[in-house]
Amino acid sequence: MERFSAIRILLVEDSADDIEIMRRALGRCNVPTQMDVARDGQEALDYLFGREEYVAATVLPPDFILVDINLPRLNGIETLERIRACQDVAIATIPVIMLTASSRQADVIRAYRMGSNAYVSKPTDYEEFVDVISDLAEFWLTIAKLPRAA
Amino acid sequence: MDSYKPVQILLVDDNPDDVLITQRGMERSHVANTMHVARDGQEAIDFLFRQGQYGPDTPRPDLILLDVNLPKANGLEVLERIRDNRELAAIPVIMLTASDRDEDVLRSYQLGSNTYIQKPVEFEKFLHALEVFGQYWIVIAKLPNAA
Repeated sequence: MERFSAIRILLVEDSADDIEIMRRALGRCNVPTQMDVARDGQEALDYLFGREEYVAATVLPPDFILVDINLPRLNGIETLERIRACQDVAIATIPVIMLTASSRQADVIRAYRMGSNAYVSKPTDYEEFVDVISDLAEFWLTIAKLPRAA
Repeated sequence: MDSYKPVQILLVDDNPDDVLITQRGMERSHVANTMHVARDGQEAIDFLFRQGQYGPDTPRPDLILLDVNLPKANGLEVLERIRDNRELAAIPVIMLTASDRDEDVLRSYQLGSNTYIQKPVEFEKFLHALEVFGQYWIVIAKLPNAA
């Protein structure tokens, strides 16, 4: 990446353990990241659209979003749908990666059809989970070019 | 991947040097893959829609690597055709291109590309990018298996 500021990541996840693993795994990356957490899909949308508890916050759109599928209030697929339907290009084009315990092909196909950028199953083993996040971060933070809305 | 079937990759690129590097990079990533090459946008469309020189047994790719600047139909046009077709819509499309124009990057994501990789000019960096790509997209990411 040509930029010097930290990559902003929004993690949408309700499991405290998984949030902690993500923090550790991202901390191992060479690229500085700043991760914010929303505990369910509704909170993620409030964060992105500056509503409810985020109404006064000046939050820039994240560079990418990691979303669990099984979430309270609004699930990951519904959240993805709302993001892709947004009129604001800067939000509609944010890469969304599903990071979830489900490996059902029906969920995988549905997620790609709805416009998720990638689908990753969470390994149950801790070390494997950290490795997966490191590989994911290496690809998205050092190899992929992220969209920049003008 | 749950299976040991090689991943079918469609590479759409008109530059023979880049085709060679991409093939070499994928060999280095140690993931079983079969790479099919289309030299322009129209050939890619023929391959995907099983028309022209491509018969009904033409494999469905698991992943598509797509250049932006291509003869006949450009990469963004090919991407649109893929996303408009129900059977092809879920296939991950990775733009792999020399273009670093912000408009091309944004337009690609808007049209539904899964990611965008700018081809590094330097040979070793190009191979490294492909290695990381292979590790992430083939080993880590779950691909839709529409069959």
